[in-house]
Amino acid sequence: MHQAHTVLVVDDEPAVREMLEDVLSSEGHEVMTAPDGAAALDALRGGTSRPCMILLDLMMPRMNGWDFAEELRRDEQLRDIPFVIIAANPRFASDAPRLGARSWLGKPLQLDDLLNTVDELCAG
Amino acid sequence: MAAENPLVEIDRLDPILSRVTEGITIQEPSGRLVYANPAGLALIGFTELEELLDAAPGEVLDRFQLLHEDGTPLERDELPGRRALLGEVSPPIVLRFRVKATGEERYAVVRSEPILDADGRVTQVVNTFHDVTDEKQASQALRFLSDAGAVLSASLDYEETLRNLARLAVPVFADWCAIDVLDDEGGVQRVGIHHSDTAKLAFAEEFRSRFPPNPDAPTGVYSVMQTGRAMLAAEVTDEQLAASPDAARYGPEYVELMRQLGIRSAIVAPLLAGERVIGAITLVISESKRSYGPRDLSVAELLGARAGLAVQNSRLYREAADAVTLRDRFLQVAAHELLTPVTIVRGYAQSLERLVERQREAAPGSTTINLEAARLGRTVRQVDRASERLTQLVGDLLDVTRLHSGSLVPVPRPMNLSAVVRSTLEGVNVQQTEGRYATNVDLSFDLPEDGDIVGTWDETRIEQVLFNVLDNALKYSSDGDAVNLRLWLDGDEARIDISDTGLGIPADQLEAIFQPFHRTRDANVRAAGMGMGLAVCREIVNRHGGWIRASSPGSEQGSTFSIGLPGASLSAAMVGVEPA
Repeated sequence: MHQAHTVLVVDDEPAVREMLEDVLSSEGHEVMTAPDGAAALDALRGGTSRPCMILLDLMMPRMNGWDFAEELRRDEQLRDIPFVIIAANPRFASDAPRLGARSWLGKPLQLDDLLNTVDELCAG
Repeated sequence: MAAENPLVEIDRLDPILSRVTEGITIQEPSGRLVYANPAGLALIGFTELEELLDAAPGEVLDRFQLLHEDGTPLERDELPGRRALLGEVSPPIVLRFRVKATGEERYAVVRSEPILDADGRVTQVVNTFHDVTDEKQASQALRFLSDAGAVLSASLDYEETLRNLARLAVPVFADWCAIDVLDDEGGVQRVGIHHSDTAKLAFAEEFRSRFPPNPDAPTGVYSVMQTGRAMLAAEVTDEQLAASPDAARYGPEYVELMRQLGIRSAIVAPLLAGERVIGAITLVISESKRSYGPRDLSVAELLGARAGLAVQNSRLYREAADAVTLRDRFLQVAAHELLTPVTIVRGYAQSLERLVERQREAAPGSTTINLEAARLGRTVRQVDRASERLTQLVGDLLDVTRLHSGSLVPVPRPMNLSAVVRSTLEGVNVQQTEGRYATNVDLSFDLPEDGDIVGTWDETRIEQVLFNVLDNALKYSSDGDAVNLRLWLDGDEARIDISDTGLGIPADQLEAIFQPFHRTRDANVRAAGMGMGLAVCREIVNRHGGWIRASSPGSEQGSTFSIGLPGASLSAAMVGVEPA
């Protein structure tokens, strides 16, 4: 069993959010979710618990992943939270370093990769 | 002596000359015509010789507008007869002449020769006219049809094609040309109309909107479309117009405006696609005062058949193109829509597999639980494997749509190829440690040491190509094999060779593997998808102006994928170029 961490999942697709919540919970992690970048910022700024990492979708309504990453970087309180991009299009893989993301995970996700990434980022 | 009394000579010759089909006329030194055989009389518009002999000097030529073969005006002094009167022998000419009274245009080869007396004076001039109007019109018709063929095959936009065809028909074949096609509702749609005079064109359009063609009329566009048979109105007279069913239908104003349109002769021919009538072409003579004949009707029929076929082809092409667009859109939407459920199935399947494994670990002694867990584990693994395959297929589907939708168009920016190669190798290394490939494959690389290779390419796309080729090399390798990537600069071309010691590629497959949907013949290869990967790679590299090829000494002897990218240079400093 892994060590329990709090992870924020930002994805506009409810079924994907739910799956990630279920899957990560069953591995013992705490999961916060947000349907877009703006909601994620609200959750981070107003919430009581602080995630140790963020799983970030890119294509989202209201505030997309690129803008969210930009906002995150500007926020002194939040800029230390590592985030990982989850996207279907490998085209966005090269955006990861530019956005300040720690890495990129392709959809559909390889669960082992995901869990390793969570452990790695949250332990550090 | 003939020279002293030429008319007597002519009288004697007349029975012979009357039977010659070429027109023959004889002039006296003053230029006055003193004889014409019947063919000659007919050619210049007389019936009786006496009539001609009584005509005032110059009157005969006044009846005609004389033209060169190409349609430019011809001066009377240029006529061979005029030259012959001066004692000159000139080569025959092709004379084009328009009968002013009827507008009829004819062609004749004219030859004139002087007859000289003992002193060398001109006593008579003999003109022969060989009427070549038929040949001329036939060759014009052929040329028109051949030009029309070129117009009809120039574009797949049939409306544009038909507009161009109408333009081509005027003035060589008609003074007016209008083309109508049947639309899906069975209505008639005018797609092209042309007249050399734009004012006339506007008039015709207005006329048509005020007096739309009558679907029940026994003649005209509708009738031709119904019967599929071309219609010729050789001579259209005012009386005919006044007596037409449309005159009764629309009244005297219609007749008056029709008269102003000045239709003299007309042909309506169906546009035929096989047996099916898909429209009609209307050809009208007005200003040029010619009349259409049976030959023109045949030309128009041929034209209609060819135009119909062209329309049919372009419609089929359009339908096919629409179907392809629809298919691509469907694929794109399907692939994107499939991705979410596949992500979810895959996520849960993997999670479940872990849960089962944990359950088994938690109760090591319980046989019942272990048996149940083992069965469950097998089931879940099957689901996971199927979902993994589904993932691969969805990925391929996305590649197919990218290949077709043109989204592989590169967005080139200055980039550091060496850096991209290094990061791709790192990525592949990670995948290898995670068990995507056989673990004991030796992955090595050679990069230039005196600097990084830089150029202006699409970094993401190039990375995709590198990853794809490396991934293939590793997938087709087993424990003990080696994979090597070599990057170097060849002139201004960046060269990459990715070699493996794995399965190898049969010679007949070296090109085929770059085709979309190529299926490997080797059933042992893991995660074979739709076979889009290399097709996508080639598309990307080609769009960069580069090339990608595969070579292999044979089965089990490994293979090398070689890539060339133009516009490369060596940057002395080993500094990564950030994308702009």
